[in-house]
Amino acid sequence: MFDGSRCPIAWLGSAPPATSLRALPEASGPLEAWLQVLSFGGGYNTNVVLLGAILLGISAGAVGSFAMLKGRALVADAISHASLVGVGSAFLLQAAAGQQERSMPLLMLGAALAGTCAVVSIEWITRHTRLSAETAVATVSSASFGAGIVVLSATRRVSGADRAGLDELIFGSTASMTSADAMLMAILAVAALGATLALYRVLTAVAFNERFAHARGLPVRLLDTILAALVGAVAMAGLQAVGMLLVAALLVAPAATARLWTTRVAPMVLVAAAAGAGAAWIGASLSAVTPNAPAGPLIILSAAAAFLVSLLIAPDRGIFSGWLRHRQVAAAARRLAAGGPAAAANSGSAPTGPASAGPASAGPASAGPASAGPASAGAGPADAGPPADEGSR
Amino acid sequence: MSDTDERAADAIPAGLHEFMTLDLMPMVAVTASAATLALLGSFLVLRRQAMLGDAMAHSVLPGLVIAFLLTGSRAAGPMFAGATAAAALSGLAIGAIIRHGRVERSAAIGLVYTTMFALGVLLLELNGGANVDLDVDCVLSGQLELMFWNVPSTWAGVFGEGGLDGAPPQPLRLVGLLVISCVAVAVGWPLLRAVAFDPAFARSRGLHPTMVAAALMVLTTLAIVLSFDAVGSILAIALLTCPPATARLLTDRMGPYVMLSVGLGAAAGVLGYLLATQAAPLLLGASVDASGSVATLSGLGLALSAALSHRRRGGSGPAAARL
Repeated sequence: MFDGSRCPIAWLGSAPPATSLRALPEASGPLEAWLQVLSFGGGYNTNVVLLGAILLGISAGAVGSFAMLKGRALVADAISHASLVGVGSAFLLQAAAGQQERSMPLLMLGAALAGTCAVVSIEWITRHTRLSAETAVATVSSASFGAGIVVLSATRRVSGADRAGLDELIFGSTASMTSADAMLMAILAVAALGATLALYRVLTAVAFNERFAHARGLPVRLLDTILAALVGAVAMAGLQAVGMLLVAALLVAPAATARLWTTRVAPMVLVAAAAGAGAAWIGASLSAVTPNAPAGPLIILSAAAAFLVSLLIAPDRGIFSGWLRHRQVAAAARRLAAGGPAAAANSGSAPTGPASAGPASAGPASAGPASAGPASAGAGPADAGPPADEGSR
Repeated sequence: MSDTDERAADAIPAGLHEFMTLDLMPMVAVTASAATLALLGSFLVLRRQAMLGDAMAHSVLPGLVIAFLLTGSRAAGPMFAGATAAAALSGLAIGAIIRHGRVERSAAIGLVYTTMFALGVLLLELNGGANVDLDVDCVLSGQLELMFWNVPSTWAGVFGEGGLDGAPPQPLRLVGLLVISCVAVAVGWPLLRAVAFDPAFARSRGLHPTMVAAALMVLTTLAIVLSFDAVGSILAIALLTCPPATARLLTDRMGPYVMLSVGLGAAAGVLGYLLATQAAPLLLGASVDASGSVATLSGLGLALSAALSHRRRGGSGPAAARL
């Protein structure tokens, strides 16, 4: 009976339509307008935002690769969900201090504090109670998001202060970003990227074999904290463009895409960075020329499309190459049945795809401590990291 | 006693009448929803699938939006069909990605549900101008505020024929679902226990773990869809995971665990709602979001029990019993 009524609290509905980077007058159609923005012909502000988003994508790809290899992909989810409490509280404090204009660095600081609390809580729950890491992430992120919703509803009662943009942090909006916001995003992203590249070797060592890294005298727990901080930095950087509910996906999707294409770390980081940059570039520019289309979902859907295509066509791990291999094995089996053991000796082993330079099927062996030689500290086979179910085919 | 006296004795006091009009139905809705989600969530947590609940609550969104855009109404049937289709699709996608892409489980789940959620948000926003019945706020925090009840002025009117005619449908549906879920769990209890602790044994005895899991998933999807109105799909995750996790820290036995979880969920529902709508105006001068406060309260309960159980045990619990 209340079906015709509207939600009483219209956060995004009350915001002006997201068209401040609207289609350009000289562009004749939507496609032309998109291509124009895509090729950096959309005006200064648009270009700065687009460039910032691309840097964010690169940084998210690189940091996300290590987070995924370490099995901590979902920590980003908790950090970003928790940041709503921080943003809301920072806003309330700011309003209480009588400041009218929202300051993005202050909101980000609040978000960072809340994200830190979330990570510490998850660590504590996993370490000190019988609950698993998965349960810890799910509970902490959802409960803190609930607290964020409460705080956000309280900010609605604050009169006079400039709430514009606060709601947009949930789903992201490049349209409302100023070039100063974009600069801040770019600086954070580049800093996270720089730190990742500087720590590349040690992060790799820790990601693949924590015990070995510990034995070599690496500060494993410190590096773990640093990785969480890097994930947090990317999440903060992406708060405005991608939004807090989806920024975790920007860390996961490019890294997962890259893992389909290669089993080595350096190429994986490169491919992930490229996939993240491409997704941010396409998504942010599409959002700029489409009214009412928030940037966050478009960026994430672009990243997911890249993953889907890779899942289909990637060599070795792709569904298509798997099907080809299956056919070859079946053909070999037929030959075996027809021509005896001689033919089988040549074609019995399933040919691996071209990208599997490392021993793609050597998962169990390389995961054990036996292979903890110096080689795995550099760029061991990526299969050794997460518990990938080798040989499931 | 005259007729007017009788009517006066039967009349609902003004303050109570106002509470019943504005707050009773939302409170019933949020409590029933919290109890149902806590009941079904307890099996998810027991089967170490907390993240799956998270994933489902996010990934039903595009199904809901597409069903809404096609039918133009928020009728429960099409919405449930859409949500089930979306949940099934994400389940298949997660399985395919783990199998073919050999991506670790949590990353595959994270990838699929955020993508589905992004799709849902995009569809909502693109149609935001034309359809105002379903918008992003409802996804985040439900529409408790709209469930007012046109209460009859006397008790006889409330308990008599057609007393609930003026009531919004969502709370009644949620109470119905709570009853159905409780009955289903009670009937299937031996099965659920066998499947939760030893799937291989259960299979060898001719039980069907997959069927039980599928039935639970269908009920959970239904609970998420119906709770969508009450608490929003994101806060539903808090209720699916926090009360069971809290109960898990407090007890080792399955029966008390499930009952405690339901009790904690219901308590969070009632207390959270009253805190947000009755206590907050006194303390802060304005009411705050009720579903957010319910979720926060369930999280605080978990924090409290985690601190308590840590102290009681004097350290970490047995590693083998991790859930």
